[in-house]
Amino acid sequence: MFLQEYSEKWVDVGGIRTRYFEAGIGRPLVLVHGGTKGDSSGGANAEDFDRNFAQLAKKFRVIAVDRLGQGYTDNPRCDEDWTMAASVRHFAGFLDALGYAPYNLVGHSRGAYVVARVTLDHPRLVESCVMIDSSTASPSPGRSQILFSLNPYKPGTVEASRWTYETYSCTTDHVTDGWIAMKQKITETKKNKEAIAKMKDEGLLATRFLPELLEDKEEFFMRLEKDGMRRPMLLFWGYNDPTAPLDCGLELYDLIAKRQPRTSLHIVNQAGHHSFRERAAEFNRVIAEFVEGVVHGH
Amino acid sequence: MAIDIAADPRLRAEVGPGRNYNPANADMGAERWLDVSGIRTRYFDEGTGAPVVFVHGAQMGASDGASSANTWALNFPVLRNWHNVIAFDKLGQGYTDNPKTDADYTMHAIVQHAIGFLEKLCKGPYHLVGHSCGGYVVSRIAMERPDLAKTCVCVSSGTLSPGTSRTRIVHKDPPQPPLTRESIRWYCERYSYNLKIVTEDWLDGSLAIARTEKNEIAVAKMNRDGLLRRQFLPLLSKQRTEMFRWLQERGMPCPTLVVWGYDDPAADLADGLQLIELFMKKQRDTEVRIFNKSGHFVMREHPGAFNRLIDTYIDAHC
Repeated sequence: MFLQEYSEKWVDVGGIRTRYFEAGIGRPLVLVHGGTKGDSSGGANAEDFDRNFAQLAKKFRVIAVDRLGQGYTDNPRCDEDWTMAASVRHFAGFLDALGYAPYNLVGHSRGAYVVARVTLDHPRLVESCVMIDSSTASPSPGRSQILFSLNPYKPGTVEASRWTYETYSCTTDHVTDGWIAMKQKITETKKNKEAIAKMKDEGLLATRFLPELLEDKEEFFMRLEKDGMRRPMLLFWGYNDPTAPLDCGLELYDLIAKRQPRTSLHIVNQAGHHSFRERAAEFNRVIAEFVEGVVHGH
Repeated sequence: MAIDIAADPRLRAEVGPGRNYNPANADMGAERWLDVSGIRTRYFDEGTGAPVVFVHGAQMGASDGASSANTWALNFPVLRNWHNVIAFDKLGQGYTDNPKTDADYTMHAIVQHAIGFLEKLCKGPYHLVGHSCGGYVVSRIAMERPDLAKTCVCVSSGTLSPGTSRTRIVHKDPPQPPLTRESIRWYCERYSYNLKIVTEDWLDGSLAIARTEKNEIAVAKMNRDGLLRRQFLPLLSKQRTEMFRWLQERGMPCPTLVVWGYDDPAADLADGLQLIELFMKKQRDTEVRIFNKSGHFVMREHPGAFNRLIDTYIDAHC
């Protein structure tokens, strides 16, 4: 296990056995990974934050959770739940189950959509919200499909996984053998194979997940325009993100900043899609600065 | 639903008192003076720890106000608690002497004077923080004298950015005559998002400087005698082009943080993004922070958040 100093914890969230890690005392800070269950990004999980977890645990009660159907958290129990909306519901349920509200939420990529959506729909659960490198949550298009189309390796192999993460990165030091192996182990679980069968073979990705996400996103942007976020926001972006380019961050910022006065954008250089891994020191510093600022009222 | 930390002792214990970044007063400490190659230079120097130098904006003989080290009055008295903070009046501004010759009414002379000041103070390498025109100055110092710069924070520097200055558009039809309280207030308000930041204190300080004899001489030289258009701006334009080349060829020699106000009417964020592109090219450790609901004076519009950012940034680079 990557976060091996910290024991895995489990909680039941509406019948879904959910894996998470927790350490430290102080304000609750929840790290939410990206990716989509049963897709080529299906290896994403709580342990993607292994360069951040221990540092942040010195200042906060840090929690990192495997989203619905990802990592070691159970797959959805019915076909209707192979959606982003279900992932959001599960995450909100997880926050309720833990009982530490209000939370400071930090989400990456697809996970940024999840935390933003919970902030929008359940502000009572949230003290502040950080979105990292996300085209899912941005009105500007991402480039992941263009990048994916070039992958020369067989889906599900270590080579394909390594190629993806390296292509998504600016610097590749963080794409370690250990990290890839940890993801591969998840990819090869029985649970993940079932997820692939659902999403790819049965076609739920194309017939349900993506179309519903598109509709949800539309409504999300309209709500951002109309109601706005009701909590302080930080957007954290890698300047060299090839899949969620800086334009995604700038357009999202335009949208959120209109309604939420306390919205900041922090950009780090020489960082691709996993800016929180590639520039972990900067990320950990800025997150602590932001959350402590929120706590102290500025 | 803001959480009242003070009202909840359990939360207070968890968060800890932390550092208080909100300005309690505008006390810059004792005025000090240093002779920098014959230029009597006013400065403030307080606290212990890492040396942090604040460089204010505008240039000598400005007709829209009179900038000085006191621009940092909401930041300096806070950050002195944890760092050795230094703020000086640039050549021909504040209470620092005017240039000795007309030929020194240039950005080059401003930078050389600043370098001379930092050398004479003998506390380098410094964490340099510059606002607006001062952002150009600190970046130029780092480029010319890497030995003096540990980190560089460049705030809202339209002066350093590619593009054409918008200040003449933003400041169309100012009240006459210039350099009265009402005129200075008018300019400050046009630079700002939140008009409440334009305090009587701030205007008092600016007005007192504007009325000094030496400032009137500088204003006359730059405007009536035409040194601004004939000499200062053409030379600055040349030196700025040189900076653009340097930034692309070798890059800043130290970690650099660019700070910008999203609503800056004078130094437009679009120009700032071009500048950011130049900084990013060669300096790996470049970061950018954009503040919402902020005009040109980010450090005055959001002093608490600005102070926290600077403090944690400097701590990380000590």
